[in-house]
Amino acid sequence: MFYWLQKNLPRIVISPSFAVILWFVYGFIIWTFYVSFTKSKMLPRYDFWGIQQHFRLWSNMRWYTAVENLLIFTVLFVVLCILIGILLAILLDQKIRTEGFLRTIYLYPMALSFIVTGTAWKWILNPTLGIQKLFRDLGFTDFTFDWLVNREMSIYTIVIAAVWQSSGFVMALFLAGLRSVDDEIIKAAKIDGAGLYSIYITIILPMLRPVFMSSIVILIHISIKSYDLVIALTAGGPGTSSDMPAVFMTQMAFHRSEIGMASASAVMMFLTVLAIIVPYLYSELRRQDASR
Amino acid sequence: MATLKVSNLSKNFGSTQVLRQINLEVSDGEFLVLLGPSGCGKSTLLNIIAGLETLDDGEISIDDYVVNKMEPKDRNIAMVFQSYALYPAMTVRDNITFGLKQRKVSKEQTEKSLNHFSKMLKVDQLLERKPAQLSGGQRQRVAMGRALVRDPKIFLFDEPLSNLDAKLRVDMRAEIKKLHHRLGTTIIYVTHDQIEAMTLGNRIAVMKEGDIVQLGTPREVYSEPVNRYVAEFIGSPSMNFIPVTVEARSGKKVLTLTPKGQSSVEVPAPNFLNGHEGREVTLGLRPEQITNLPQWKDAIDVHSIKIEVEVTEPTGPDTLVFTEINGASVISRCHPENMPEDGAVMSLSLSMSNGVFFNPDNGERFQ
Amino acid sequence: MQAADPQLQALERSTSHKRTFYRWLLFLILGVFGIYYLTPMYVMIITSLKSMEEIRQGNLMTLPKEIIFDAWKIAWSGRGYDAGDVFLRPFFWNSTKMVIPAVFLSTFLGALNGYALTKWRFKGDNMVFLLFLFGCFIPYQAILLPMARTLGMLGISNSITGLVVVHTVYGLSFTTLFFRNYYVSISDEIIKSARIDGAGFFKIFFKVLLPISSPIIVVTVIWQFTNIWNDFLFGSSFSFGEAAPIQVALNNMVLTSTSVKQYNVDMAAAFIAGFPTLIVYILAGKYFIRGLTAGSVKG
Repeated sequence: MFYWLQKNLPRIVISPSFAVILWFVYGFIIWTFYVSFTKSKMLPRYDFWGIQQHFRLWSNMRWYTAVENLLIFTVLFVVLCILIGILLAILLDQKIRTEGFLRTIYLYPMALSFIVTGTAWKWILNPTLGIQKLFRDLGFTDFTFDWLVNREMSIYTIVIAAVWQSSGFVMALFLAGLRSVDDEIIKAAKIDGAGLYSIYITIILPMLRPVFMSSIVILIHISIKSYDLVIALTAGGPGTSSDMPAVFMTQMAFHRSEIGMASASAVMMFLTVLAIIVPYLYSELRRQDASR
Repeated sequence: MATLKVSNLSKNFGSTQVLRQINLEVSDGEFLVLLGPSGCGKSTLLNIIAGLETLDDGEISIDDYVVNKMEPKDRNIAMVFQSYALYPAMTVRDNITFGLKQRKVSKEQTEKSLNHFSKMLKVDQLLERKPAQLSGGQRQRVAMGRALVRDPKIFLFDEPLSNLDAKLRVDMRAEIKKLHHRLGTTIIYVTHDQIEAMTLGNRIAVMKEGDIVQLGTPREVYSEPVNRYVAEFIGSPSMNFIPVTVEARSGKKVLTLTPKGQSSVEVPAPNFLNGHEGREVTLGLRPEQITNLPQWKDAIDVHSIKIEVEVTEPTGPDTLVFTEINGASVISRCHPENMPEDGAVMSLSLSMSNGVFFNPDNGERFQ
Repeated sequence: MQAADPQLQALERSTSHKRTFYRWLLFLILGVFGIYYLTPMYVMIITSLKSMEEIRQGNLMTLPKEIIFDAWKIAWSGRGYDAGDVFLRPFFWNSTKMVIPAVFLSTFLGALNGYALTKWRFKGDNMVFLLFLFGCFIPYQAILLPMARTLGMLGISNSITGLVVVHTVYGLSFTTLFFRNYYVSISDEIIKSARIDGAGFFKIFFKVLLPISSPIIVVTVIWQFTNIWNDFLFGSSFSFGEAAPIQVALNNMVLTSTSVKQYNVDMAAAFIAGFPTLIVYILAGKYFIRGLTAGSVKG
């Protein structure tokens, strides 16, 4: 008995946490899947209703806006964050004396919540007293910057704030990647006659492919989940012009009593994440096995 | 092909001086080894010669042209690194030709050099592989190929063999030597391994804490070390250091050697110790100078001495005998046959003609 | 002899000129980005110190003529009347009461899990880890509805206790990952030697492993603290009114401020809500960054 206990202690220790994960993560996901195939409205109902909710979801204009916004946001967010991140990482890698200080500045937005970020940018982008007024005071009297209340442009304000918050993080990832590059490789390239520009383009950046992969996956993951920032900055408005799937889902779930359709949208989000994460984790784990 | 001249070169990292007033001349086609323990400044010196690090004072000239302010790429040098520093994302072919492409060498010429050197280094079957798919020895060859195709004025090697296993290291050492004979290039080679230095170099610069302590041929640094540091660093097992007192005995200077538990032997002191009577000096004897090997028998200044064997270490070709003389532990290199038991007494010949003497206060050699 | 080769000398000169030029350009770009990141913080702080009148007269960047702390007082402790007076103090304490047990529990359990997964390999341990790992990535929308119902059934919806449970559960994946990766890098020989010396499962954990775990404990605590303090989704979904955490309260404050928008109060409130994590970041930035990169470059 005592021997059995000793032998199985590791399993016993981990089993409560494991049970919690099985139930609260995997069990709940299955529940959500199932509910997305029922007629649930205000309260969940468990009689099967086929793919009606998914059909309703994909014929909902608001969902289309949300998906379209997600695409615009993701592309811009990922591209801008990576460009800024790489640029700053490379510049900081040039043996700068003030590197630690600058890095702290570039990365601090990451410590703030999206709500704080949204609140601050909401004030800055405010069409009456914000940037618009600043430029008009500087003499550009016709300057207009009303993206926050402009149905066409509101999604871009979310991009601005999100890039401000997350680009420093990409910088940190790339800086860590650059630091892991063997110093002798750079020396060898210098002796081979390569200029700094071609050293980075032809030698170092190709070596950082794993960092690109991670950054892209993480950034896409952030965009699919983005909820707080939208709520704080535009609340999905004006109208539903800056809606995103995560906002759509909570709206349907908690304000519109459309539990079935909310679940269907959550399933869509889940599957999208799955499609990105599973290949990533697979290649990532395989790479580690290879290097072990 | 080129000459290199380093004059009064100094370098500081913050307040620590890593190189002090270095002077060095390397003639055309010479193989010079910079030898020293880690932290002695040898790699820094090589990096400064390459232009990868700046210098604080002094001058470096290649073919009499001062290159202090020149970028590495303009100095026309090539370098082989300890980690090989192959570009991981490029194939072997691209790795080798990268330098030529940067210099806009014509396609035909590039292809020709690539073929020539990849055959010479036996990597011509590996050209489409990535560095990760190569063994350590193959990577080493590719790294050398990358340096060779450039046909530079000077080759710099920064501990190129220290990441290889023992057998491969010996093979590559011989190959580097053959290459040097064949191409006759000027080479500066950094290592902490004294055997590499002895086997490869035309001359060796032994370095310590930012200074070149001795610059000379392998034979000079081995037999005529300028101080105890060089004597200790070169040779394995290391030179024996025995404290002896210079005594005047009936008009002659003598030294007394007393092996542990055995009777003393008096040996004549060399003339340059005149005037040091009554003073303690350090006698330096290589292990092969205390031996039972027969060739010493008729040589001059050879003395017979009885010692007690503490422990023996067979190495194959010869056996090392550990004992104690004048309170210092001493290693003797003996013929492996007929070795006595540990604790037994054994008779050895001690050759004083190659003995060296050091000042125990500052380690300098008396001569 | 080429001591006076004019071509080479020209090359030297242009190299050194180019170098100074690029150096200046480098600092210029780095400086511009520094300003870009700092400006919102600057705007936040100066706006919070102005009166509404001055805000309307001046613009975003102008420094306050007179530094007034009224907005901070209102943001922290309200205007002193009852109806519709939202202020942060009680919610700040809500968040504090939520964050401390949640961080402690999830970190401790993560350490134990990481230990069991790496140092006592058992059949299927890799699968168990993979299932944990995947929990880091799920979009929480997929568990939001059943969680709300579960909290209701347990009778802890709209309570601090409920939020502690939620944050502990969904933090487990991250904390387990952190500790697992840290313990993987610690030599198994230490464990073997302790076992030969007669130490058991828990003794090894508490006496051998935990004492050398302080770096990863700091990383994990900071990561969990930042995430839980900054959470809005769970807070807004599972609590409202008096039990809300600070981020929810901040958002409500900004939305519900009366007829005229009080930007100075909004900014003071935003600063208060961001202050604890900002302080942690400034004091322990190194560990914060390590958590970020560890939480992203998985495995």
